[in-house]
Amino acid sequence: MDVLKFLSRLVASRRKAVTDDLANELDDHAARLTERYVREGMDLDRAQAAARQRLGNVTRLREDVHEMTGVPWLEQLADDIAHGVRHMRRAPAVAAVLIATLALGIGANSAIFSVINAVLLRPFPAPDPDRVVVLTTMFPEGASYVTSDQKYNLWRRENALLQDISGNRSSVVNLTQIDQPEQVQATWVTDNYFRLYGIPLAKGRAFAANEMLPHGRSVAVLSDGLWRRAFGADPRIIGKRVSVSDLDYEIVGVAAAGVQTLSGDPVDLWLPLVIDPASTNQVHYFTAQGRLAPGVELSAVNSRLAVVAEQFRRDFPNAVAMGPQATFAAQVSRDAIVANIRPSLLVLCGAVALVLLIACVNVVNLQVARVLARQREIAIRTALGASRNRVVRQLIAESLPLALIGGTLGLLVGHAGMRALLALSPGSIPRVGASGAGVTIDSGVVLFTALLSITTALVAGIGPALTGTRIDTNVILKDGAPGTARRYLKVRSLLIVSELAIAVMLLTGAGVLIHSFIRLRSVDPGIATTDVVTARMSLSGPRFATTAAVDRLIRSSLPQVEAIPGVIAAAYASSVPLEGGAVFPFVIDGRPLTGPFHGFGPWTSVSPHYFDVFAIPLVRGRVFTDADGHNAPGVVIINQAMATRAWPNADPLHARIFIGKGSGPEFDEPAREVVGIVANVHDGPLDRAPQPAMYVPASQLTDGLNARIVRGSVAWVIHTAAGRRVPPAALEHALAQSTGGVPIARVRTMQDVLARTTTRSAFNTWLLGVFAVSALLLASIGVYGLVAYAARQREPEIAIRMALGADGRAMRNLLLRSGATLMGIGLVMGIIASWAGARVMTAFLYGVSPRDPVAFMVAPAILALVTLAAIWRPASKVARVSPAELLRTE
Amino acid sequence: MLQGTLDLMVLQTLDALGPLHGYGIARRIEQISDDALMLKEGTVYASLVRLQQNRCIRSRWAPSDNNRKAKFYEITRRGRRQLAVETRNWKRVAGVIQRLLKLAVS
Repeated sequence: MDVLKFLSRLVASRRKAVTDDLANELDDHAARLTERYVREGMDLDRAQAAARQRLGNVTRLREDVHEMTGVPWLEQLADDIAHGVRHMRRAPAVAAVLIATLALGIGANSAIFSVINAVLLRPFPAPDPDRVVVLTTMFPEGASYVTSDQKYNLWRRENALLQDISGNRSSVVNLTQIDQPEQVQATWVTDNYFRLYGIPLAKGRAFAANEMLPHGRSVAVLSDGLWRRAFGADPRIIGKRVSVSDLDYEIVGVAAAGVQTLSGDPVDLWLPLVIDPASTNQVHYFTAQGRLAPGVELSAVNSRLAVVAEQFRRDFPNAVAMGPQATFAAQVSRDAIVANIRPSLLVLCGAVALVLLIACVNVVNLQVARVLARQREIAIRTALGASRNRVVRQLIAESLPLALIGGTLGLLVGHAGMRALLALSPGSIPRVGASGAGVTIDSGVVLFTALLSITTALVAGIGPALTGTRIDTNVILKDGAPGTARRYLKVRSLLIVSELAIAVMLLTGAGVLIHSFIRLRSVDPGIATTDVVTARMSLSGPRFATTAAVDRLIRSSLPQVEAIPGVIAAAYASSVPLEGGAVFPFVIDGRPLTGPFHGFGPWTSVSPHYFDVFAIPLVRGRVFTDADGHNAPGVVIINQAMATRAWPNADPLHARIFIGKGSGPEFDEPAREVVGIVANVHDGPLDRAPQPAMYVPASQLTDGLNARIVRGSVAWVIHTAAGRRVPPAALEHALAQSTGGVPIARVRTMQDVLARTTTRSAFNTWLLGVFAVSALLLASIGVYGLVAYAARQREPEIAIRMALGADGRAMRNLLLRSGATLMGIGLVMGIIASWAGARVMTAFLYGVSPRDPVAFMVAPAILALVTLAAIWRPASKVARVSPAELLRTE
Repeated sequence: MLQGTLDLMVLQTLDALGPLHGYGIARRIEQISDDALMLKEGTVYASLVRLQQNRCIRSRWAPSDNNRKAKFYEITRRGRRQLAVETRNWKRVAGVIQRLLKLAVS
């Protein structure tokens, strides 16, 4: 409370200066008047009296000035808060409970707010970010953010309403020919990308338009971080060269420190995204953004894009990835980035608000009890002339230190907890940075917490203050107020019922989420996840641009990997299940077409042992062998979902399909024969049904497609003997000879990969679970307090009853019954409210209804058990008390 | 005396004569009014404190005529603005009162 002391000292010192001056001036004035009167011939005594007369009532004057110079409300507030602190010291246990309750309520809110602040509120790092849009192909199922040269070039020509249309795609690359070869995060961008996002450069320049054309100069812009890390902050970096995946780039610029992408992902270097303006290639591999031209509304752009989509369909009737129902649309980029997370943050926000509400109810209840205990003090104050207003203000101010201490504690604890949780759920939320480093306590969070604390103090103080002061001074001073106490019991009962109802809502909500999470985690991904390790590697660059080179790499390195002790099987794959990969359309040879293709689905190029590594069962036909080489006839393996969907009445084995036909020259190949059917794999989010999937031998791609695939990152997947770990160094060593020392990006067990697909769900479930348990705890404390209070109030009555022969157990049951009645009402209200509000949960659930009967039975049951346990103690204590003792104390 | 009238007189005095101490202000008011107001001179100081709180005047201690230190008050720019406003108000009110009194007489 040093602030208060400081404030009051400040007021006091300012006042003292003024009053001291005033005294001096008045003395001087009196002296001068006296001199004048003496000069005019009066004797000294009479002159002094006349001077005093002339000056007037000096005491009154001092009082006026005293009042003028003070800050009365501030002084009163300081007094009241000091009074509150004294009260806290006198009952430290009660104060501790109050502070802990408030810390829980406020801390939960400030933790959620700090995430909302980082994700939704903090300005996006772009000038006028509301006008930056992402261009999408809109299907009835939703928006697709990837696009092709073909669409991009059309959009660029139709740019009257949009400015700085630019493309970008990100991937890891290898920095080669530096001391420590390392993998870095590269973003390929077109020249206007820098202008669109207003990326400031510390040195050099951004890309020029002629560097965006095919065969243009290879240039690069470094991030500040990479410039310092890999180049020792070389001041003469411009014009030097950097080798990225064995390709040479001239460094033309260094970005300013602190440059961030919209989604908050890190970028180490920018490379030119070269898109041939004449290209009509249909492979979707990058995203396009633009800026709304000045004065142009998003809706205008979207109506224009709908027309462009029609034109696109006319110009390219066989365009892949543009069905008859698809259209083009622009979305504000920041909305697109946070679209998935916003609803769950808002639901969590609602949940923490409810927790705080319960905390407030508990504080109100405790405070009411204290105000009742202090009625005599309040009555005396009123009798001595304190206005009711003044007393109310005093009671509110007394709860201020509690709320502020609770808020500070809550801010720190809540923030630490949130950081820990974010570190546990990587990649689940955009814009929070690595391990939640972006979620910081900035001025906004502090302000929010402070406002919340003060509001809480107001809410928690005003109820008891208003009711506690509506008293008849005479009655209280004469004989206490049994009537008021009983009236309070009613108000408190009402509060407890609502508290229980809220707790039921949070518990059922958490229950539904937990149930859904269990369902989600028990989905069989269709692959072996234990003892499977994946390692990512970038093969971009000229060395592995041809299929033959990759084929050689696979054939020479896999035996080395399989020779590592403990390794049972190893394979190469273009992507890892559950981590996303290419999606291509297919056309069945010999079947009439009504649209551009017969279907589409995830596509993976693999080496023969892929199905062994993941233990994917073969249903019919055969898996790939080494004989399915570069010059052998093209083959493909499909999954059961594709077999049943594309061949509902026929046998797909030995049927022939074209993959990606028409998308571009990379897909010009003869039809492939279906040689095998494997079981379904959840190659995508676990909560979606398996899609048709295609697997092809990595040695059978066209060179063009292979170059596209290795431009991203490919994977080595390894199945080990039970419990054996493969040290990344051993893996790197085994691969070193054939790759020429390409570093391994990240090694992940398949279980880790699996867990990552459910982190968002885990995040929601954990948080709501913690909030629900907090609510349960708070509500049971509330009920406990109420029953204990009621028991004390009824002690005389119970004592008399027992003295007259009533059974102790009957008395206990009496109290239990009254508590249980409240609980029952609370439970029913809570269940009804949960039932009515269940729909907000729909978006977060997998495999369970938002009105999941299990959760709706278990949650209230838990609450009932805990509540009964909470009221058992105070109730049974009464039953054990001896009536004689009770009557004596009365 | 009317509320605020004294403040107006103090401001006007400081504006006309420059920095003055409280005693000097009291003398000036006495002189102008031919002592008709019979001002309790302590109230001048209440007015000075009030005006200083409203930042219409500022003060500093300085040696005065008879080698005593005195607190000198000086009108600020804000004070001059305030004085202009108050003077206009005063004239309007005075005009109204005059007309009212004339009506009452006739």
